[in-house]
Amino acid sequence: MYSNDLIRGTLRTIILKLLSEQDSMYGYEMTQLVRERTKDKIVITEGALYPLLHQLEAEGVVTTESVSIGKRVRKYYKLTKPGKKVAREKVSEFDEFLHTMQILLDLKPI
Amino acid sequence: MELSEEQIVFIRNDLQQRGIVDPDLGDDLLDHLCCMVEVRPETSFDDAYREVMKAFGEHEFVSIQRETEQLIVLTKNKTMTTTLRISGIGAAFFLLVGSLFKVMHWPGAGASFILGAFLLVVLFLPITFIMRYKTADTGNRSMLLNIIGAACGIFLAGGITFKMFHWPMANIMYYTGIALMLFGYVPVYVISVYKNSLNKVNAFSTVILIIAVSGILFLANNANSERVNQEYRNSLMTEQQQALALQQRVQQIAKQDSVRKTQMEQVLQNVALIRSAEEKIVLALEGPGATIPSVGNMGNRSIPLEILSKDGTTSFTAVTQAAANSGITLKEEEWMGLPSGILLQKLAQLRTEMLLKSI
Repeated sequence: MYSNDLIRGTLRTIILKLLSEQDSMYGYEMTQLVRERTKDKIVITEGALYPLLHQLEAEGVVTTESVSIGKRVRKYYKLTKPGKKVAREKVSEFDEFLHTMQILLDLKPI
Repeated sequence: MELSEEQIVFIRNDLQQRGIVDPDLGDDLLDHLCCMVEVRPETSFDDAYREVMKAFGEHEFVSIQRETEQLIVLTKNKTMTTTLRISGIGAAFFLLVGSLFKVMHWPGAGASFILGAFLLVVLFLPITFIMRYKTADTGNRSMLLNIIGAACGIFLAGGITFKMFHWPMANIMYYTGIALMLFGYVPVYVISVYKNSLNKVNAFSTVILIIAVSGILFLANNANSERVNQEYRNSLMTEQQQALALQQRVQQIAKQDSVRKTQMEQVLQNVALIRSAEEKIVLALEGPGATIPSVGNMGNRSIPLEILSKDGTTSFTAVTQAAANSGITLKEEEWMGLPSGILLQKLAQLRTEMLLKSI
């Protein structure tokens, strides 16, 4: 598992990327999908995830849809139209960042 | 494990008890916890729930809620945060430039300083207060602290600005700021911090720091006014003595020289008129019985020229006329709105000039 500092800066990008792939997701689903794909190397904590999701909602990047499941409500998060653009920008920014880091740290290309 | 309705309600209540009041976040967390419990290998709900909670930790829930609130406040108040940044940088910049220009006696110091103080008092401090209030942890004391803190800043900054421009009430504002800091901020801070702070050493040093700063601010102002007053009284005295010495010489000439007698007496009469104008200013400033050298820091007060014509014996027009008799032209705009101390000095200098011309 990577340190929290490393994950914190990339969390927004990760979430936006996930949401741009899937039509809509709920919080727990996101944490599980990230765990699966990274083979437990990146674990998103609830403490980081939900404040971010609510912030993205306030920014108008995502919207929510509530679905009742018995006594509980599941909130599905979905990218808005401007949100999709933000997601693309974030991912390509991160791509550039990776290249820069490769050069900077003299790493072999992936 | 499939959760029953009672178990879901149980988790919901538990979240509420742990301080989650935001319904939106509550829904998210409830669903999340349910999902976590459902995938636990334990067969009993109680065991599974205990394990899930262990993974979370005690304070986690409230801190998630606080962070969410803070992020949303910051996002929703983007304009405010931008204004805060710009006004903060602007205030610091213009105050520094203003102070530098003032020290160097360059033009534009006053305008720059006043712009900086305006940004600080009207934008930066109130917004800081509002933002802090919105993102503050719950508790009335921290809000009270913010209010007192913002008021302190406004009074101190206002007081200093007023002082620079010799406007009235400067000292009252300045000392109110210091008093608020000492007798308002410190006690509230001590009470709130000693009740719930983990780091009491830090709190202690903060209190000492505040008291020390208040002391320095108080002394600095006192020492400075004392020094300014002293310098001002000295120069007033010099002007007065100079004018008086000249006046005696002119009186002597009038006695000895019968040819120039009428002319000299004329000048002396004009000088006496100006002298009585000065006395009228002193009377207005300090009350009956005061003498010119006793004028204290009230000399900072700017007084309207109309005060001269209050009882009809003198007026600025009469002063102008008296000066004109000696061939000196007074421009009214140069005399308007001056601090009374400067006004007194200028009048004494005028007497000296008139007397010198006559000799």
